[in-house]
Amino acid sequence: MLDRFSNKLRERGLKGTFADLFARLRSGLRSEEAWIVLLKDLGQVNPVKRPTGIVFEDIGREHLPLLSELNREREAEEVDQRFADYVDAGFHGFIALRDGKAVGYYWWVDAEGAAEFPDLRDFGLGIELGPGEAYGSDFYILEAHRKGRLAGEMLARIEGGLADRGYSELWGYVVAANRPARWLYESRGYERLWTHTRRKRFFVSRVENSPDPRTYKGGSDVDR
Amino acid sequence: MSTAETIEKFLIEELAADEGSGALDHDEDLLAAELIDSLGIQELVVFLERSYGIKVQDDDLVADNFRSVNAIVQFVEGKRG
Repeated sequence: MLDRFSNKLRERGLKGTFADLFARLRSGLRSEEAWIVLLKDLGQVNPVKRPTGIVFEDIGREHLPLLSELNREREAEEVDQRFADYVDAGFHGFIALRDGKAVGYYWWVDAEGAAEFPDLRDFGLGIELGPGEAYGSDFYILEAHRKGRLAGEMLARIEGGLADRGYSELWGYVVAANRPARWLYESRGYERLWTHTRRKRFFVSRVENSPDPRTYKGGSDVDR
Repeated sequence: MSTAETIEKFLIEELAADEGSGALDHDEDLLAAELIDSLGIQELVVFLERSYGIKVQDDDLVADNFRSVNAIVQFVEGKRG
């Protein structure tokens, strides 16, 4: 704890450290974030018109050093362990490589891994995977590579890769306020199903899904 | 310059600069043409807000509002309405 505080003090300075502490305290007292649960029909996958030439592979243990380099570049070394745990747990992923270097990744599971996958186990998103369905999350592209339609190309390759494996639907979610991500999914035909709201009041968290996922019968969106 | 022409000019000069296109059909499907990527939508929204004094909400970011130049014009006019 003391180590973490002194590291933070060194990285952010006294003013930055107290600003971060205040922000955490404030968000514990009162915060609200909306996520939109999405569904993509993998029978409708359009390949991109102008591929950028990225190499796209299934994540295996041999990719962990490359992912570790990526995490270092974005100053998130702590994520390395999570990725190693994901590989150990048998979760699936795609890695995008440019000139032999990892520039992005995406993790996914099907019904077999759903019970253990953190999002589906802990978040209360209201998603229950059935046969032929996959759930994807943790989609990341290094900031320096975000221009030039790489995100759209990666998503097209992910959808195509899952469709080729016989999956018919891909579930996910997007933070409602994340406009670039929201547009990315919108432009690739993801359906908006329900809104998952996470509220925190005096350090007590509450989640709510609206409309109720149990009423979902297919073909609707958040406006119904 | 009409609203449609102004938006067309922005799309060509700012979002499709590397396409080498000199003109854009106002009904052309911008999504199918992959002209507006996830960062491009941010630039377009800022441009529309500044140029036309409108406020674009998160929920306005649906394909139907940005599918073509004419769709964007209709969206802007609806906001200004």
